[in-house]
Amino acid sequence: MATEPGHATEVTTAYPLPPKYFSLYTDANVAEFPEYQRDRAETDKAQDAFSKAVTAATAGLEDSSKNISASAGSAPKYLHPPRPIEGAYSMFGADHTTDSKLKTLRELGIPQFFPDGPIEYKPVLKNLIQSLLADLHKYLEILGTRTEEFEPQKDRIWHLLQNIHHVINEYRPHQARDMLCLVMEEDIRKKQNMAKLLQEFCAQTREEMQQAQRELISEPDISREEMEVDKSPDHATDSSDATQVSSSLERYKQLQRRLAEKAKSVI
Amino acid sequence: MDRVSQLQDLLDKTVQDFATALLEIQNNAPPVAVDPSIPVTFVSAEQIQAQSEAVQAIVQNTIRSITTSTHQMGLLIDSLPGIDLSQQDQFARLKALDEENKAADQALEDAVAEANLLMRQLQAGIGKST
Repeated sequence: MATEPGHATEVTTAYPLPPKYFSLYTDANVAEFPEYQRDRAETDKAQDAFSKAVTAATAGLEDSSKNISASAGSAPKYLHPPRPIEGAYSMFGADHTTDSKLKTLRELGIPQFFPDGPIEYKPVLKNLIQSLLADLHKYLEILGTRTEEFEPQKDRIWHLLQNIHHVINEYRPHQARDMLCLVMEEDIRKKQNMAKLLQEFCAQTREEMQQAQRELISEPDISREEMEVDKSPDHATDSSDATQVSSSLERYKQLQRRLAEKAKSVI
Repeated sequence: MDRVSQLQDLLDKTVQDFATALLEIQNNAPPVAVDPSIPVTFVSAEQIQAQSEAVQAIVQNTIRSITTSTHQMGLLIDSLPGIDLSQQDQFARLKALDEENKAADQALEDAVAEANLLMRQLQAGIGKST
């Protein structure tokens, strides 16, 4: 569990103990929580009271759950999660910080071999790599002839490597932006294709619908009884007219199905 | 693996190869007499010759490996994504793409609306016919 830096941990174990306020999470309290959540005015007061109660609990009070309840009122208020920590914190005995910005070489105490400010990555990287090769060659010379200069040369090679890695790490946001541009271009292309396909299909469907309408209009006016297809041989001629009308309807229905399927596949 | 990570791995590999070669040369180096009056006798001349040849082979391999790695690093640097664009160019490109994305969204919404309208017309047409 994260604590303020400088506070001693209670027990040194391989895995941390659960926080003391876990005893508040009873079934009854959890059931009351949604009602509490609706009352937004008390949220901030509850959070501040909770933070103080947690600090008191982790300082080693004996009956921490009773103290937590007694210090600020009804138990459900303490079910609200604490605010995220900002700045420095201690976890598993090590100090960390929420600030994840890449530190400069000067902040890390490493000599910098490239200029400050915005740099051109290509020439700087190539120069640093050439310097590294030259220094490796010089290192061989020193190992053979001037062994007293071994340590400074080894340090220089180490600093060069750190410089190169630092420049490459500083390049990563640039790489991320370029990747974002590629993803957006692909996304735009897909949307434009989909819109174009849908428009073409709609134009085609409209054309077929108008064709079907024209066919329907040009058909003779047939009554409902005559539209029923009679399979007997005597009525073969009349049934062909009814079949033509029903086939136009079928075409309409088919057009509707095709349009629905196309819309589903696009969306 | 992305090119930036490949570059970092290649850099580490180059220096690692160099360090490994130094260690192997040190381990395979033939013994040298400290005093001319006390010659080295625990190894034969043939063994010394073999060790020298092994050291030469290590040196040649390492030189080849480092040269290849350096060349590959140069190629990777030249092909890093967006290497020829400055930060301002990237921001301008992102802004333009954002506008294009909004236009593409609008075009797709219009196409879907047109399709829905056509669907309703078809349904109405079928309803009237029946």
